[in-house]
Amino acid sequence: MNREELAAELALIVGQENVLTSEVDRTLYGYDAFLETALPDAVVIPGSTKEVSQVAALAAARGIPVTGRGSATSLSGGPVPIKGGIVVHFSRMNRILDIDVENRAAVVEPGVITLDLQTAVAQKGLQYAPDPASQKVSTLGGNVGENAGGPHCLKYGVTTNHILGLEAVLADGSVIRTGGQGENASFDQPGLDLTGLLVGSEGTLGLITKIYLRLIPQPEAIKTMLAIYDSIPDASNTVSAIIAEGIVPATLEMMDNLVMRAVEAKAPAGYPLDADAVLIIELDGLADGMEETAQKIMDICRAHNVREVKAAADAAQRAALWAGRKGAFGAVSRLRPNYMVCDGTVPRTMLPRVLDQVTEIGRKYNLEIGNVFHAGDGNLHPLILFDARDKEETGRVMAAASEILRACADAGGTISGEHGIGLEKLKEMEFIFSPQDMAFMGDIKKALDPQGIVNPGKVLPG
Amino acid sequence: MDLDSLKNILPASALLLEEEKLRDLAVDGVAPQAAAFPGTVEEAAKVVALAHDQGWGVAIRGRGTKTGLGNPPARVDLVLGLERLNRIIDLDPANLTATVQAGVPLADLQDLVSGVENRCFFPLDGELKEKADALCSDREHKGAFVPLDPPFKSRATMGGILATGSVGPSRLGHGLPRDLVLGTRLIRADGAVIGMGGKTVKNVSGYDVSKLMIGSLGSLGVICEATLRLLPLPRLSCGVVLVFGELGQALGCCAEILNSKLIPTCLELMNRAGAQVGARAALAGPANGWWMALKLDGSEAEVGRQVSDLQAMGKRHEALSTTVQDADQAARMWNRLSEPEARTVFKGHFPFGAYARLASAWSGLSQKAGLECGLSVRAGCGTATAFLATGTPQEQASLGLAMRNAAQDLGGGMVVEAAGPELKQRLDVWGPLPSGFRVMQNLKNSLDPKNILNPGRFLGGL
Repeated sequence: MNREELAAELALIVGQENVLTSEVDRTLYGYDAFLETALPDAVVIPGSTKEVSQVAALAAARGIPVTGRGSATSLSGGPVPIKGGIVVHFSRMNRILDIDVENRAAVVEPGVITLDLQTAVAQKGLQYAPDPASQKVSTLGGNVGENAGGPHCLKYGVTTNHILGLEAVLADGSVIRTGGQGENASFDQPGLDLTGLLVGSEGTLGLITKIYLRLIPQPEAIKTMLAIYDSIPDASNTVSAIIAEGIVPATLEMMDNLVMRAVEAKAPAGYPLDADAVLIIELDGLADGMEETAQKIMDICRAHNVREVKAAADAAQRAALWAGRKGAFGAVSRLRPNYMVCDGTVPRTMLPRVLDQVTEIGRKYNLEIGNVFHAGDGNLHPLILFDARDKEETGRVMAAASEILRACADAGGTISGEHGIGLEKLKEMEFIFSPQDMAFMGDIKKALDPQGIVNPGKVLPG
Repeated sequence: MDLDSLKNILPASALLLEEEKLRDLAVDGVAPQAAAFPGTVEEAAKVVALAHDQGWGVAIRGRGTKTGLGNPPARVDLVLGLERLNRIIDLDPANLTATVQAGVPLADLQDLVSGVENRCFFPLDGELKEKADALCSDREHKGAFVPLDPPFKSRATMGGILATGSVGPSRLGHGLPRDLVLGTRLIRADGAVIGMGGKTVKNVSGYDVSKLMIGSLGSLGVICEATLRLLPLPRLSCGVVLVFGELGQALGCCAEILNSKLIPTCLELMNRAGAQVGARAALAGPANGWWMALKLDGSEAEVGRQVSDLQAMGKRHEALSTTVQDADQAARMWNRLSEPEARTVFKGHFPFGAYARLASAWSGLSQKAGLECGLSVRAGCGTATAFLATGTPQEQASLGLAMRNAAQDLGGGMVVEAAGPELKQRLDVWGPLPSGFRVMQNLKNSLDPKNILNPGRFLGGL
């Protein structure tokens, strides 16, 4: 089937205006925040589950790959149509269908922007907890696909802990509901936990068309602190010491000097330019006892040679601290044409050691590396700066990134905490999985997608 | 059945072949022809591989607290007992994780982690190895706990708890097994040992196979090892029990609590027979009264504030009495509540906001049926449990059916969590098949094509 025929058939399903086939369009829908790009044969922008189902059925009948796409903020190549075929872009399926305050649940289409939902539920006194740094742009469908994390996941858990149910279009075009029926979804629905399987499967098991999310009450009080350090080990030891004290803050985020300078150059957030590291520590919960806990945390910071630790005086200061953290990747991108984010995760107490190794790897490959990450979760994000037009430098970046992931795996950690395997880490899968492990996951993939046409070439090598 | 092949791979001491003793291991009256109690994962894997070769139906067993759950088995040739797989593989209090084999009783693990005082860690592993260099917490309330409190927690093994997704009242504060398991090792149907996940809180490397295994009743693989999240023991715990003369008052108080900023760890609403399970002697109080039990954890200030708020709320809703329990009294009551004697147990689920309607409906139905029926409504979690101590299988089945219909009318459902074979003939254990059932079948066919793992017992005969 040639491209024109495919486009014509797709137009019958979604209308001519929702099928894109020009080379420019295909290029625009063929990349994400990872390096590799690819050209789909066609891009469709469906408006309903029924249309997605018909597109998938067409793809199945013709044996054509089909790949879902939200805002493509993903960092590991998840939505890149590496084997061509159809890209299903969810920008038209962007309605918040229901915010059910009584039942503490929301129903959304996959194209809803994460922050839009969060703003809408906040107005009703509730919150949707997972807060990836890209929340201003990322879609909830993408968050589900990658099992997105975020700073507040330290206390509240990642996306999968907040998804009650899904509607999904499978490889053959059939539509299933997980977690219940009708308007309701529940973790207690008997049967295999298909919701848990689909979340984080990087769009390789089906196309998500509806999401049933759990909402939780907003905390009574919040306190945000900035701790400034002259040494990275002191900062990471503070992180372990806070947890050892039995305190689970809402966030424990770390940023190093390179990242702070980049943030301050772009949009000043009040970070010191001469410090080696800062921690953003946030507490939330009952107002009673919070001051006492904050004092204890500040004492721990002092015991670990903090230069200065201060609490945000008001909501504006707090917002500035977070704006800087959440804009960190963007700010760093101003320093060099490209950056590569590694997403390795280690048991928290291994952080100082692995951070040392990251510095060492940067030195070995002569690369500049910044660090901004979820320290409380042990989830590192070394940002390797480079210029992708320089093939030699790019080669060194790929080698360094792989070595960093090896260091994480060797420290008892894993190769992705929240960004996914995608295309980026296919060859590193063997760092943590045996051939039998991968065969088992391959059998799961086959059970849902026997032809191997749903987002092919991702997650599982070969 | 070729018992010689079994004798070739296991020592005689690990086998049970006497008919009389095998009768004690019967599942819904179906006795196995042999029982194997492997001492290592490797031995267990060999047994599964042999069963796979021979096509034996394998019933997986820990300490038997969940044997009443599930459809009557399609066949039981071999019982695979995992109670000898009882090693603690790794205890990492500084990172708050524990890795244990499936046969470890939760109670043993709790005892162990509550006493771990070594919350020290080496700040730079590899460089500083002297004890004096370790960072130690000086907090007074040392120790950690596994945030799970399922029924029969004094005997239940970790493998059984995870395979059945068994939960207790503290899920309100700490979440479900699916939220607390970081990784699993499992034996797949052909005997291969598969490792998934790890010991980091964040992990999106490959499919979330642990989610698929939890609650799957052993239908896809034998869980032989799991890594769990631990939490630091709270500084202070206490309980509050409020007694109300009428359900309406209890529900009013419950609504006020759930709409407040209070964060109880447990909240159970029980009728008289339900509350009686938690009492040492016969309960005082009105025949149609309702008991509300809460558990509060945190700092002195957090717990104190909640206790005084609850006392005021109790007064507003005309509580007949409000009792504050210290940590030991509360622990004893919750321990008793987790050990109901009733052999017939129904577990309903419903949307968050429907607890009042569900409680009224189930209470009315049990009174009408004239059976002794303990009710325990976990209002903040959208679940409720009914414990039937009296009635013929016919009477229990018709009450169960009415309760299921009531839960379904509210947008939920009901599972028979424990029952004898006579009741199961009259009342479907799992209820209507869910929308994704075909996918569940495909997964079962792909991962256990010979249908040897707990055949017939899971939903839809999976």
